[in-house]
Amino acid sequence: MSWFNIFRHLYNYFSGRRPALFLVAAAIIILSVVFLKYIRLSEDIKSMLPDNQKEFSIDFELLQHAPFTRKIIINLKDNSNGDFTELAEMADRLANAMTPPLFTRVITGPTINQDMDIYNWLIRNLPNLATDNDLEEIKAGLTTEHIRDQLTDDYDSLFSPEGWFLKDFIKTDPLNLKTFGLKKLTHLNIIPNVRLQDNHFINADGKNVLLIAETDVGITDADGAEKMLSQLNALAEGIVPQHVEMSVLSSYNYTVANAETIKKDLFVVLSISSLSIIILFIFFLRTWKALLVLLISFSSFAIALVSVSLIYKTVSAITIGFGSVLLGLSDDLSLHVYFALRPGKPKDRKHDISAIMAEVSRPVLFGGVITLCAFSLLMFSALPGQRQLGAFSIIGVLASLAMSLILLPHMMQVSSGGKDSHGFILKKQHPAHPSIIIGIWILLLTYCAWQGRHITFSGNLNALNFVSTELHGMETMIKETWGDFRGHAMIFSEGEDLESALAANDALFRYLKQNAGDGGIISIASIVPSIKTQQANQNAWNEFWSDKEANIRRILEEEGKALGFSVTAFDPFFSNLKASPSPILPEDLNVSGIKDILDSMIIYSDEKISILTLVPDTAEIRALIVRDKDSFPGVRFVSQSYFSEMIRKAIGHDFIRFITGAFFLILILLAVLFRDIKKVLLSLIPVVTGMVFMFGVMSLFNMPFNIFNIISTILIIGLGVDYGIFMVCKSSEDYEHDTDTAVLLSGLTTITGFGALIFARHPALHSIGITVLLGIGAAIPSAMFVIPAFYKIKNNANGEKSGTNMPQGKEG
Amino acid sequence: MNRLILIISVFLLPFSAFNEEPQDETDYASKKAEVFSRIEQAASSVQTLSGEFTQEKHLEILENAPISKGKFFYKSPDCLRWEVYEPTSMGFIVNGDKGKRWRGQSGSRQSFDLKKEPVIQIISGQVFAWARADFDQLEAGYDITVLEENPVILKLIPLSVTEKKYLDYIKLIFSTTEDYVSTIEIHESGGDFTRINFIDMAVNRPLKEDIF
Repeated sequence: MSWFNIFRHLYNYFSGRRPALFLVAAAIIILSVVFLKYIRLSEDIKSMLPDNQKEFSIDFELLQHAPFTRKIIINLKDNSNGDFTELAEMADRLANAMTPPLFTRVITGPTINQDMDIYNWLIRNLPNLATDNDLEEIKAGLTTEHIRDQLTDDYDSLFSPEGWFLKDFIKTDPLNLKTFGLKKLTHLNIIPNVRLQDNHFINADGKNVLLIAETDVGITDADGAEKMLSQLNALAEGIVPQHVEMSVLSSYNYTVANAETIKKDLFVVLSISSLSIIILFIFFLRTWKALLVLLISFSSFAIALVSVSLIYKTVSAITIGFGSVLLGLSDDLSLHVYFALRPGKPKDRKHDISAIMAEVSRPVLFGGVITLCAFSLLMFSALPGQRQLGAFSIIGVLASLAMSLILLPHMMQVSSGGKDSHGFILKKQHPAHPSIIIGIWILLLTYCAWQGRHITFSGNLNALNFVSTELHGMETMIKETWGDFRGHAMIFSEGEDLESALAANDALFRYLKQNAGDGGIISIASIVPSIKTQQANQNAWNEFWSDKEANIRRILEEEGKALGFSVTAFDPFFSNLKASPSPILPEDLNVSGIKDILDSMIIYSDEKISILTLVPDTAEIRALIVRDKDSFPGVRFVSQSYFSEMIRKAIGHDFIRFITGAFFLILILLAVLFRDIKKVLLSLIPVVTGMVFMFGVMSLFNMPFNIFNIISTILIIGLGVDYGIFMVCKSSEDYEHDTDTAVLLSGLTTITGFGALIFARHPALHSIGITVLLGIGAAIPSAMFVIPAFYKIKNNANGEKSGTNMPQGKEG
Repeated sequence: MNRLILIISVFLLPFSAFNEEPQDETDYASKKAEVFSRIEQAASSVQTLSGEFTQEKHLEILENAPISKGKFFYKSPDCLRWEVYEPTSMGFIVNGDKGKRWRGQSGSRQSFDLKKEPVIQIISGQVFAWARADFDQLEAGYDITVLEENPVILKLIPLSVTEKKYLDYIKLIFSTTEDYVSTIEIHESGGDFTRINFIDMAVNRPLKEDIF
């Protein structure tokens, strides 16, 4: 006990220097409140990405290069029976109205409008593009029978409605080799269900047109995104009529939705938690002096926030949201001091404040230190956001401890006098049926432990983004209308220059086709191979035809003549065979309507060039790349699901480390405090109950464990142990400072702090709220009823053994 | 090539006189309006059209001009059956915005959405527009000149740049009764052309529902 006399001495020291103490405290608090408005808020989810491994940040940056990450998808859906022309014109008008600086480019279709150009381009460039496999297939079709069949088909097609259109192709491509080229184009189709009509992107039923817009607004720039989307809506008001439904989907929608939601949540959460705490204080304390405890809570919050903003450049919105939790947390300490010194205490009790401070400082300090230790573990997290939260909580708890143990006694002393209410104080009762309480507790604990074994971990960051019903509806509608063009995995083939990047991309494409088949691979390798590959293809092409041309000419002439074709009908085909087309360069394709795809698939940076390949985001393809990654230097696989998997593993690892570390620390601290294994175990009852109950209920309702639940777990551990210490001290020692009421009130204020988070619409804040509500909600009754029940049983047993009645609530 | 130019020149020679528009533009405009009005009036009573057709293909890549034969059925406002039976078998049916097409004697019929078949959409659109004599729609896409009044011969020059690339002009010769088109000539930019003659056309003959 003597060590804690420091607080007796501190009290006595400041008794003569109260004005100076109040002045310094007031200065710190006022300065903190003033600085609050200068804090830079950040809603960037990046703060919740591990920064201890370079892989995470590289992958996160690469994920931003997905073709539609920085694009705004605008869908116009005609709900009437209007014709396509009207819809297309509307799309053009809207596109023309979307001008800089907010919109840098808008496309409603490919840059050219004649498919013929693509066909002719393919026929001309087949020598550059045809692979060995293509030549094998072509060879199989060069028999007289096949050629006769093809020519007959060509001839017949002249009488079809499309005859006039097909005539030119028959001249240049009587063997229909363009199908080999067309197959290659399928690898460029990023939007599965798109088709072209009058140079517009339309869907299968012709009721939807697609506009793709670009902007210079940063993805995390919430203000810029809001301005840009508002401008788009304003433009649409004058152009898009009632019967046409406009849907806009982009990363910017999520940025705005999240920023707006967090701002609203912060207001709602902080208001509700503050108000409910005030109501609880009024109900329990019924004196204006309760404001002193509140002052400590709010001041701790302000001091912690300002301190964190001085340490970090920006303060995460999640950290501020956590402020409501800190409000509920920091008053635990001050409440215990308040109840020890509370107004209206019976005068017959020893009311030497310095002596009470020496006594009460023990559990308060230990509770505070244990909470600090639990939070300090967050400082070892791989997630910068969690480290910031750790710093915020540590500073907040330190401030609360300092003010509760040093400032509050003097404030209460100064404000003493007058007629004070006793407030609502729990009667000192001992459990009538301790065995029943313990039995129910064991049953509940067993059931929750059984349920909790199914708990799952989730690393999906998207699930922690706020997605409104409207936004979710748009996502679904656009996915159903146009196909899933936003959910691909990405493979980057890197090179120091374009040629080396294209060569790496060629190797990857060949490998994927061999091992995963053609399906779903989006790659420019089929249309823009490296120059080296093109030269090799052209050499193989020339060699292939050199010994076949004469024979094919003879067959075409003979079979053609039999059908009625003129002798010179296929001269253009043979001219093309002999031509040596220049190698295809990405810039050549600018005139062929594929520019936009190339622009999104070739990524230029200062040091290197990366070529993007999109593949289905499946475990099989990921395994393929991982298996042979050494064969493909410069190739990197990135996908949302893989990224989530990495985060999930990091969370799991963090979680195990936190739990182990926290329990280890707490056990040491409890052992130092109590030096009694039974007391240590009893102190752990609330934390174990809270944790097991939280796991059980989360598992029961299929709620996965995410990044924010880890933070919640740390809180449950920190607070649960506090309750355990207070109740064990109260039940086992001569310690009568209305601990039951203090535990109940501090628990309720914590629950209201967390409970307020349940009203948050943002999944991250909501997630913290709901899980900790479960944990603390279970920890409080276990502290208030189960610990005393154990003591009752123990006391009864001791009484029976000694044959005497030991005083209740005291340990011999 | 010289032969081709000769063929084209000889073929186009008779039309050159028609290409000269009447000196008096007001007179021409009123005559054109009168012709359009006559055709509109005649077309207004047409509910069905049925008959046979021959299609001559005058193409550079073909040694001779092959003639295909087929059957044609139209029912107001938007049903069309176009069926070639010689030298090959193929055809299509349009009924509203849906359709079917086939190729070969035993070729299975493939259903299609008219919006997804741009070529058939253009052809059927032309047929429907002429059957209704919808000159507003036709003049939106073509510059129409009256070459002859009796029988009525019209020349249509496409206005769309895209269409101009492939299509030089279309010539339509109306029946003496002016209620249907008896000959269509589609002249391409390179000189090739296709002539379709409608034979034994019956106007408003009842047609079985199942042919569409």
